[in-house]
Amino acid sequence: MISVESLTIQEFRGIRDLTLTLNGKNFAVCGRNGTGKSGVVDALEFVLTGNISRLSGEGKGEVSVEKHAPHVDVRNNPEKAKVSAVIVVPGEKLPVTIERTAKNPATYKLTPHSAAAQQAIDAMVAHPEIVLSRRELIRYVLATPGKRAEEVRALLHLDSTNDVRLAFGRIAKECSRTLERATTDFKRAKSELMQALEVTALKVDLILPVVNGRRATLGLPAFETLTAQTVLKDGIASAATKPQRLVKAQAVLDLQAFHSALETIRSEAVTRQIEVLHRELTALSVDPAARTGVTVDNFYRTGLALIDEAACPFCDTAWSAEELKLHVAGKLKRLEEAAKKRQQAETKIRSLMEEFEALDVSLEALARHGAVATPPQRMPALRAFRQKQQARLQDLENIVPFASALQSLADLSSVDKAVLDEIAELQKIVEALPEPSKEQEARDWLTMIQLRWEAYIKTRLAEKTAKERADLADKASEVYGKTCDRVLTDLYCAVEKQFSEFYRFINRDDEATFEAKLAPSLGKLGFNVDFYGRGFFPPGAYHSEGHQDSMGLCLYLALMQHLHGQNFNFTVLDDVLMSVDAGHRREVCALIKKYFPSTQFVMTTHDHIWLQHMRRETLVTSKNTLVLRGWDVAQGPTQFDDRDVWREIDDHLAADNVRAAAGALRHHLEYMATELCHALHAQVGFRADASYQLGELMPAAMARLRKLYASGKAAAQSWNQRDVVQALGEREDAFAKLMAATQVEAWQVNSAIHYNAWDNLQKNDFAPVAAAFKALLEGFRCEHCDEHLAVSPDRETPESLRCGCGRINVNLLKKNSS
Amino acid sequence: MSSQPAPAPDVPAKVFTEFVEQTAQNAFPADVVKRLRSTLLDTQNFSDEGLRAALFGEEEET
Repeated sequence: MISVESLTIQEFRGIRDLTLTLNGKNFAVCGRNGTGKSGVVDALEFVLTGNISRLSGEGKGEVSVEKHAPHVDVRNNPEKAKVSAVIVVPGEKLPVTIERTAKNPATYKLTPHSAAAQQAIDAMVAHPEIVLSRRELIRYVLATPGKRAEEVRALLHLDSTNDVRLAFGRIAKECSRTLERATTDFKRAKSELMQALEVTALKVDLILPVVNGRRATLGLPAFETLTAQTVLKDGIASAATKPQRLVKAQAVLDLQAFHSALETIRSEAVTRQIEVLHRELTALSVDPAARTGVTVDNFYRTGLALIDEAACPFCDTAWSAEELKLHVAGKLKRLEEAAKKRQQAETKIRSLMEEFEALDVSLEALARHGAVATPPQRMPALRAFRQKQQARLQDLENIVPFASALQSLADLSSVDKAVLDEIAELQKIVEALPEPSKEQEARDWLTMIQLRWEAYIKTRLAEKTAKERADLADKASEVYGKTCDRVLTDLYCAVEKQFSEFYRFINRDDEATFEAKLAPSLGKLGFNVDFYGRGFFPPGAYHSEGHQDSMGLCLYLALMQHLHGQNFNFTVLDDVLMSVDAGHRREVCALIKKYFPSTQFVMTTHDHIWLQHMRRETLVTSKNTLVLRGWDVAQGPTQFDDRDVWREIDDHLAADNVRAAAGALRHHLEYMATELCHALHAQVGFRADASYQLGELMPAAMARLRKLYASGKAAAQSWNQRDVVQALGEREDAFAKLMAATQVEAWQVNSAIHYNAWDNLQKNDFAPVAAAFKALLEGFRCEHCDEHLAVSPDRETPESLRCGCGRINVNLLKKNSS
Repeated sequence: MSSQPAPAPDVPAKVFTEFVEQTAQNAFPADVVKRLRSTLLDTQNFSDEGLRAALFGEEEET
């Protein structure tokens, strides 16, 4: 990553022309809503990544960077919307300027060109998570486990690991389906071969006598062994005439097999089997408890198998994993009786299906005979019947819905008359065929058995291959899943540890033993946090919104640290701590300073107090602060910056607009007086609504500085530091003159010079007032570093009055009090 | 005590490397292990087709 030295924004979002000097250090942007803070964030994100999050992505409709990044007044000239930044890339000696325009957001210009800078920028473009807004913060903390996993995976660049997990899963499923089909084909081929051979098992000692008997009829040598490569009809081609297309002997056998299967399914035993099953399914279907139970049982069982994190695997509702397992197990126990009945029914269904599958095998063989008969028999009713029967068997296998299963069960034994007619027609054709000679019969039989043998060998090999593949794919999926979970668990453990450490640091006052659990599983990421030792719960369960905000920040920082390691050099926190109270914000400052000394933070806030905390904790300096005081569409944002406000006042006076000049001065003094009262620990009558007026703040700040100078003099005298006493006396006198020039102390006794009366002054009367206050404010600053004087330490008994550079450092403690 | 940030880990590479090591330890055929290593770590082809070819060697057959 990089650090930003300066940022120049032109005609971009709500900003017309603004340059910020960051000097590679932390920077704060403060302003009320609608003063242009977001424009600065957008500009930083845009120049570094080519994108603006708030203008792109989900739910943004027709809003786009290209169309809406330019200032509204130059929306038709996107080339004028320009952002440039001077950046420093770690390891590079010279800074580089990067520039983008809204016309071509994806392209950028580097001056001078630097391969390292290009690499750094391209890395940010590829993973542009440099801005954390409250929206992103909530995504990490309050999202469902599935959504959170997506967000975190994206942040940690883990998408490829999940892509591979999903791909292995799909391949395993696909292989499993292929294996099912291969097994069905193999069973069918085996059944047909056994039927033709008229054997009860495919054993060499059962097959060879049958085959060799036919071969003997043709005078062909017998086989002593049988292998997959054995050609059972070997030798026929030279001795035989062309065989009949419809092999009478085999057709007769298959017709017999059909009639046998038909007889079986119409037998008393099967009829009784069907009746019993019908009764049981009917009983299950009319019992509401049982019906619900059977339907829901599978649902619960699937869910139970998936529970290994702290949320419901179906709806992501937060649960303790153990509690959820007990809850679902309780439901399953209540369904035990229904489950038992279902299992009994399933066993009967499987047994019944075997009888009907035998019928289907014989029907398929008859369909093949019909196709080669003379004239050909297409047998459409038979083909349609087979399809219907397969659907019925599927309904039965599914059990639910019961209505479908019961209907299919009722229809299962009824063979359409049209089917029987077609088979009778085929039978006539078969019977009309001349009886073949023994040799012809043997030849036909060996030809047919060769085909079935080849089909058997082929499907057996296909099933073996499919099984090997399915096993390999399953194993790969399982090993990958376990490896992935183990590595991610290690990673999340490290993030979890870092997150907990950050959060404990911020909340060490009352959550010093805080712990968190980040649990990856099945592509989800559970996140539970300790709640005062009462157990682990989702962050949104019991913790306040403020705590959730700080959790989001801590999780983001922990993730970014793991993502970028020592290259985590730059980030933008866009108003992310608005729900965190003042005390904990101070700790956030301390956290950033302690754990991220090499990271440049750009922070925005609408809360002036938060800005003051950042300054007090020296997270940012006054120079690295942009305080926005207003915005309008034509001018863009205006700043609480001395040079800016005095120029504005001069401009108003030049235009003879005293009212506007007075308003600007009053507004600026209100802001500055608040800052000064805070920095100097001035005493002001407390107001719960914090709506202090200039008349309360400015006199208090002035009085306080004089008192501090007096205290400093007294302390110096106690230490016998005459030169310090003299220097402070000179400062005190100079400040008294500045105060006198402003006539602030006369505000209460002379309403004509009160700040509320400035609007009514003439231009020549107001100009000296503005000049006097400008000089007064200078009196609160260090003449060397331009920083305001401030009391130190911030909260305890004042020990010194000092500036940012330390050249002014007034000891306030007397000798006998130290 | 503040922890010193470590260099950024390449988590996907770690996952893939450990997976390939696990396949070798779990008696996957040597040619499959070789193809998986090449697909995941060298060519970084994470598509279904790429991984299927790595597992079953279709590419070699064609």
